[in-house]
Amino acid sequence: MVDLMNWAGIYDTIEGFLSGLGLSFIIPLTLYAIAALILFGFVAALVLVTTYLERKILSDIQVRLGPMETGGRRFHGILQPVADGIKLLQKEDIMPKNRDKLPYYLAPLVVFVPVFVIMGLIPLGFIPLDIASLNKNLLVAADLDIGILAILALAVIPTLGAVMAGWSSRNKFTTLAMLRSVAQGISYEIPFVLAALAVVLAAGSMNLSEIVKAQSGLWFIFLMPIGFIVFFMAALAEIHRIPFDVDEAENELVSGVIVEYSGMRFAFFYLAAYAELFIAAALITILFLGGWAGPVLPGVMWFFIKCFVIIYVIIWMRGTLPRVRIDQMLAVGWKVMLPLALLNLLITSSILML
Amino acid sequence: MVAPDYLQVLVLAAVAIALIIVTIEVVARIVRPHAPNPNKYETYECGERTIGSTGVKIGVQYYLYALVFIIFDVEAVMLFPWAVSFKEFDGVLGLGTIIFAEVFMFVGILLIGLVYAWKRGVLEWQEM
Repeated sequence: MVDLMNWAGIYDTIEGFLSGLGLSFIIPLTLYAIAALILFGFVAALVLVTTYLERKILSDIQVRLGPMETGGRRFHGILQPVADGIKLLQKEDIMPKNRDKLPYYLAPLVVFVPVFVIMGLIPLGFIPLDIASLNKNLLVAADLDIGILAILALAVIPTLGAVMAGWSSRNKFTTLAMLRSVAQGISYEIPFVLAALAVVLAAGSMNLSEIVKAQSGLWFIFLMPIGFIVFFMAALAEIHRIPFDVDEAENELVSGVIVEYSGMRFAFFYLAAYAELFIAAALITILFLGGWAGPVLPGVMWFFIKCFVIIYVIIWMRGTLPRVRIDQMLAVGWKVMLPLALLNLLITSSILML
Repeated sequence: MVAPDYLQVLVLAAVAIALIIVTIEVVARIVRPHAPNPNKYETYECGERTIGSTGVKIGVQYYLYALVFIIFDVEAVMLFPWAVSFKEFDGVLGLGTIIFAEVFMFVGILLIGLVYAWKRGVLEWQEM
């Protein structure tokens, strides 16, 4: 993203300003910080769009209209997510008095920060401009060579945040939710990583844009359909969506580990949950559906089309499927998904050797 | 010196931490009301007064899952270098069959462990 800012002239402006103050050594840091702020705006906009879509699609499935008033009836309540955000900002900060202070305070950070960093590691496609002065015209904040490994590693940290939130709240609902959350997270982590590993095997690289390039002939969903199914289900479990949302089951545990959080503390858990939804869709798109490859339209648009199709399917499942029991879910994770993921690895490496 | 992209990752994390703290402690503090009442700070339990502590004994089931998880997670990490270099070994060096067999012996040994855990009933959910 810094390359793009160089082209847009931001770099020259900042360089002129900071050199005038004698602070030229913080120029790169300033650029990175601006990139981070742009990314935060992107995440916030994405969450607004996704929550609106989720409410509207769910209400359509349930034959009702959903939010209609905010922003005017003619626009089908388009400002509802903005109103929700403003409401959360105005909420009184209520914290239970017998909480464990430090973990309670840090839990929203431990959940949100890794998710935000992952958002910065996901390339959204090539910029549809042909500019010679750009080194890399990939639309991404940080293009790491170990991309997928870094994402998989960071994706586990929010589980730790769930433990901190659940334990420090000293509430029976959150304690149960925490136990379930960890059991679920660790059971589906292995199939999740092994399915991604088969993709790395076929692409020969952990860099996400290299993985997309390796799919120019054949999308990996056709090379390894088993891997796709395993990855999709494990991703659903990792982001705690129906049918695998046993740790935030509304009719048993109120809303999981975030019961005792209110206002903006709650809002960051919420932001992280919806950013995770987008991350799951983006990873499925990049690893199995050819990323931003597609005819006619620019790559970035194809990327978002594919992502939102996946998000639509996930929301559709939420409107359709019941919730599984925790013992069923863990049994499927260990007895079906793990052998299937290993089988997929075996088949993929055999095909590659032919 | 950290490579530029990794520095960007560090700055992303730092900015995220700063944004959360500024939002909660500064922005929200200005606009939110403050009306303390001892009842508000009770533990939430659907209106009932909470009884007992949450620092209870936890079913051993969860630890057994965690133990099996650690074995396989380490395995997955060990497989990543293999996966990245597999194509090169197979295509350029012609050693595909050898490293294929080696890795699947490694995975096979761990699979024996999984089958053992399965037979011992570690993967069954025990009623507690």
